Amino acid sequence: MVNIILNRSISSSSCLLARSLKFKDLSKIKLREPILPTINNFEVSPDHPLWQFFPQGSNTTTPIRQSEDLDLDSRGWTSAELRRKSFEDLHKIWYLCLKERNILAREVRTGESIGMMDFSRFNSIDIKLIKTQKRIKQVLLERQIAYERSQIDFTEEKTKYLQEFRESFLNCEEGEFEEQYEKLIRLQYAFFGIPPELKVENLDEDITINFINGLEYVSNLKLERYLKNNDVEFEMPLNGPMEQLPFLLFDVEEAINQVKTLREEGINIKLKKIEIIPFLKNAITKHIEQEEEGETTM
Amino acid sequence: MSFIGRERISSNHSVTPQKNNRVNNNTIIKNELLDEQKAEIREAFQMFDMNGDGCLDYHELKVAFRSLGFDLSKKEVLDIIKEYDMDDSRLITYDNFYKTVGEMIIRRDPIEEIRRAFKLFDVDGTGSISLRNLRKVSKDLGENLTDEELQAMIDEFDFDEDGESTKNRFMRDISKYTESHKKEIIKMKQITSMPTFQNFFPDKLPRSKQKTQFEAGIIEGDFAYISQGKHKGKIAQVLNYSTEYDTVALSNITSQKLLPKTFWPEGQTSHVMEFPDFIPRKDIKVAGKEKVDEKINYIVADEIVLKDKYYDERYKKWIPRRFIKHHENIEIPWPNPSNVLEDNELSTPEEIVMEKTFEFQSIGKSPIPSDCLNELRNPYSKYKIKKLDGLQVSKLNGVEMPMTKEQKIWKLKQEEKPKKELVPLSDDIKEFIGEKMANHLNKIESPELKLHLEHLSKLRNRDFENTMKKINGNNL
Repeated sequence: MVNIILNRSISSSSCLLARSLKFKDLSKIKLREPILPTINNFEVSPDHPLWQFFPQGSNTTTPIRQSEDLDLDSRGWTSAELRRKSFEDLHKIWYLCLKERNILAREVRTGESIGMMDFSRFNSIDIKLIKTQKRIKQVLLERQIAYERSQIDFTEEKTKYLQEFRESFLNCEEGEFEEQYEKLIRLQYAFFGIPPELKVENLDEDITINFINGLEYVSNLKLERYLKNNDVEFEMPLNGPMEQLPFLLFDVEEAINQVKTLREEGINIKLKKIEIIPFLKNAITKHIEQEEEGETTM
Repeated sequence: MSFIGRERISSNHSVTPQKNNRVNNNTIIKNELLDEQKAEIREAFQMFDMNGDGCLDYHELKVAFRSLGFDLSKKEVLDIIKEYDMDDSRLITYDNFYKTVGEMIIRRDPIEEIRRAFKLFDVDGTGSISLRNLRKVSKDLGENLTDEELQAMIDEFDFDEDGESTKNRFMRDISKYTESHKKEIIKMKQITSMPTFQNFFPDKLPRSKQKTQFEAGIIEGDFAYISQGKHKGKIAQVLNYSTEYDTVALSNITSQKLLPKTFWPEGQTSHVMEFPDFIPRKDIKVAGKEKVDEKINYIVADEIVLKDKYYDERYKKWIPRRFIKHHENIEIPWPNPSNVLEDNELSTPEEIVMEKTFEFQSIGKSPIPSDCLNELRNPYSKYKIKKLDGLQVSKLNGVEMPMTKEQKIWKLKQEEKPKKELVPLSDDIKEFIGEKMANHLNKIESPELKLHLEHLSKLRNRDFENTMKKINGNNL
């Protein structure tokens, strides 16, 4: 038994390696100076992410700021100021606050480890930052609540206004048409959330039931206006979103041609409810990609 | 009661020198215990002295200690009794009780005290005190606290203004550290909690009662007339108003104080420092300075009124004007701020702040991304309307079990059987049944049985009704 183990251990490759590494002449080996573990012997790149925990990034000279260096006079953002800011701006302010709080927390922890006791000044800034953050949340929640209430409160006014606009759009003179058309673009965003410029990355959020309702309203409106002023044979009504979509993406004339070809080829199937949103997403992404390709080739 | 206590202590004096030491300590206790704490000790003693003989026995003593927040083991309590027990009565007198408890209170670590207070309140162990917890405790204690009082208690601890008092963000949790680290931290804390440095600052005001400089009506640079205390009659400039303590520091009214090393300003070399006194706001009156014909006059306002807010360029704030009460034509203007506010490291330029980048443009789409909503509202709130998706519904309903062989056979057999058909009775049969029943009923003579049958005929029989409905339905 013992023999077997011995044989095994000798035959292993590590053993062979060890034999070949035997030092023959010790005087020939040169050792470099040992590297001391001090700060001066470390090199940290100036864009190391952890520098964000320091007030001036890689240019910071002291581990903890003196109270004279702290900005104690500045106040937090007020809710009134924050209400004017878009979501993207609020998002930025939030993260700036968070970063500043991280810096403060790091300094306090460092200070504790070297026996500093009084952090009231750090805390006073921290409180302002926390308040700003809480106000940001408050402002966003206000907006959300306003949106949710509008869904219930505006239903009557909405239908009334849509009716009025429909009449004025259909009956307007040729000269006013441009103005009315711009109004329609604004309206489709205001009531149905259809943005003036569709983007692939936002489609998931954009396409909702509201979007589909809007598509129906807008396409019918455009088509009716066109048929009223031009003498074109066209079979009403439009059969579901598959036929409505061209009116949103193209001019009315081209849209009518497209729908006609669709009908000739017989692929204008009425979609099931569950298929509508995926169809719209697919179709719109394809359209946007094609447009982009067209631009690049131009 | 106290008379007996005093007699005993005088006998202690003469017996052992060791006890003498303790009497010396007594003077320190007197100096350092707050009046409230003294009252607390006295109350605890009186409350647990059940038989009113001026002494506590072992059980009473243990409960009294616990009521003061000290959890002592049986041995420790017995040791304390033994130490003071001169005549083997196994009792402790008030004076001895006062001394031991006083010492313990002074020795007590304030941080530990906060934590103990937390543990007492924190019934559901969430680490923060909510109104609900407090109400439970107050019920347990049998004290009828109103909700306002409870809220005031919470406000006193509340640092981050979320309505619950949590520990300070920058306060570390000592219990989470290793033993060696713990020792080091406690050592650090003890450096500043030396008895000579205690009572350096006056008592803090609860947060709900703190006032800003403008609310208090006194600010750095004002003149103040001292109306009470040692320096009564002096007029001095205000160096600063402390919102936490509701006190002012005045120029040239200072005294030498011992300053812990951590608070030393640069260049300080000794613990003794000339430091401005903390003078309570109620002891001073605001004074206005006026120059008439090269003569300086001071007008002292007994009380001031704050009204008419205006925007002050110097302070960059909306602040009220300050008038003398009952002489409201005399305004005491706010002094010029000592340091002019300038843009600092954290300040945002005005045009960026004022730039408007948001407008409500659509009611067709939420103004914030849907992922953000859970950060604003509690996604687990019990008030939230929950929507189940298809998978959850299928899980709730469960899967239909496949049938066994026997069940399948039984089902097939059932299907093979001809279906039962309900047909209304023909008139002949109806007549036949009616005849038979009439014959039978005519034979009955007992009025009770007749009454019973009468009653039975009036009862509704749902099965019968349903069957009749089916038959009629088939017919129609």
